[in-house]
Amino acid sequence: MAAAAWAQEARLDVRSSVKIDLPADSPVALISANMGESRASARGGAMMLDLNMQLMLRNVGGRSIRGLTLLVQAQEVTPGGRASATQTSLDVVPGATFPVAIDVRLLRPLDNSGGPLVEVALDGLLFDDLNFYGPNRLESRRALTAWELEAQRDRKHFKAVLAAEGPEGLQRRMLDSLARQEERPRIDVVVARGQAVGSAAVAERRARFAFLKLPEAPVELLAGSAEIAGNQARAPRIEVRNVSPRPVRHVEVGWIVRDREGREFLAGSLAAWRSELLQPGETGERPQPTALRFSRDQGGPVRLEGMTGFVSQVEYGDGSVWVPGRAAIESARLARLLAPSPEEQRLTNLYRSRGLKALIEELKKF
Amino acid sequence: MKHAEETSLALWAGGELGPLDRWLVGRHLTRCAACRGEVEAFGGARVEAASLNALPEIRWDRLGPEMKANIRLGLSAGECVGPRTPLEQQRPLVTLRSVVAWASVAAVLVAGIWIQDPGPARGSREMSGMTGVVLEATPTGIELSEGGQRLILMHPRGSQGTLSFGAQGVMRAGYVDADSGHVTIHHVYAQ
Repeated sequence: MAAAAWAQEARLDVRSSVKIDLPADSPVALISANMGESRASARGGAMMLDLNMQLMLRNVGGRSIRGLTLLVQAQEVTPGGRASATQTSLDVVPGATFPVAIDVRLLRPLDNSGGPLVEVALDGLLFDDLNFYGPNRLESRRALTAWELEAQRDRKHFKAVLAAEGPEGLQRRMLDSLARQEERPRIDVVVARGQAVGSAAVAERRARFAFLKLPEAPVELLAGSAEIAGNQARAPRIEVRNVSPRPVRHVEVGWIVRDREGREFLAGSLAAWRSELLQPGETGERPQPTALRFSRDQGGPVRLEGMTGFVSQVEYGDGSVWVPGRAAIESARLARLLAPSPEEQRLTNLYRSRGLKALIEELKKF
Repeated sequence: MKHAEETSLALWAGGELGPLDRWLVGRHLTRCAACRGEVEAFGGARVEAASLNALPEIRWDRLGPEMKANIRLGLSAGECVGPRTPLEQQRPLVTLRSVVAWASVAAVLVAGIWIQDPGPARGSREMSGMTGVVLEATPTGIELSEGGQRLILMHPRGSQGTLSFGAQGVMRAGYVDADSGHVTIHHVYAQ
């Protein structure tokens, strides 16, 4: 009753609340921006804003677009925070249009000083020849390139299966992938940046990472550790060596955690090296001032017992990217833990919703 | 002696009466021990409420005006519940009206907490002792919170997608639209 008395809803003045910024020479143009049911609600001493943006973009360049990232900022609400919405596994030919939906909720004090609440800007887009356009403030070049390489890898794999084993073989692989997606053990993580973990009931200890070596990885993981207390970990660090003949700019390590019952989960990743160039033969590490809390089954704590890392992505100094091969990710241990690539998820979704014939037609496209 | 109305005493305790009423009630209080007792009880409750300011992430200072308005509403509701007791009679310490009034205040406080922080994962974050810039996935989206302010990138169509985190301070969720096949990947950064 009190809530009903307090809540005052109003449709939002979208023009003053959202700023959409595309550069003049952008290969995509904004065709329309539908703000649908966007609204503002006064709740007690706070204002809650629901922004439901449906953007329609057109490829006005000369090349097909494979992926696009839009930066979403609300500096006034969260000065240190940003968000992004990415569309990947695209095949947008010149002149074609495509939609991007962004739904954002903001909670802020009532005494706003005015100006746009949310700014949406192009961070980057990837063409089918792997060239990139955009300011790349969110390192979207690396992410879009990695997803495109994974997409190419997985399409090639399923085409090879089709060629070698026929439609029945492809169908078996789709069913295997769907089963793995359902059975993959999941874990919930809360991340606090730049903060120590609060008082824990158990003593903190420094735990070492074990490493899973993937063939052909351009970097070697030498040593790593994190402070662990119960279901919380903080200040992870991994020392890496560049064993490739090329400078490396970014090293991402997949992070597997093991609980006291021996169950393993792929929790996420750790940027073991970033920003600066790591020359061939050089070693380095980038400790992360981060605290993490692990739980599962709606809040049940995961008591950490061990951690394993493996090289999951490397960006070279020239912007090209290395991702693990299909054989590596199909190893017994990783296949059970890793989420399939976005492209593999798209293909399995296509198989599930439209059948084997539609999937085979899709694989023939490019 | 005619006692002051309970509504007036509550507002007097909070410094909310207008100049004339303030003077009249103040004058009455100098002569009436019973009403002074009621005012002290209201004042004690206000001190307790003020101490709640220490709770993290609850902006009591901003809720103040709304709470005061609802206290008045609660007291008015108390008026409707039962007939006025003759002021000449010695009133018991706990009256039906005061029970209703305080129940209304409690409801306002609970609703205030709920409205101020509607995120479903608030409890888990407090339990973890994590403060500062915090990222987590909730049933509605990926949430970045800093102080009492929030930015939530909502899950499309209620799907929670495939979640993962980056220890450098990023949370990611990937979604495949079952109808269109579009692949969307959300990131929220605490950097």
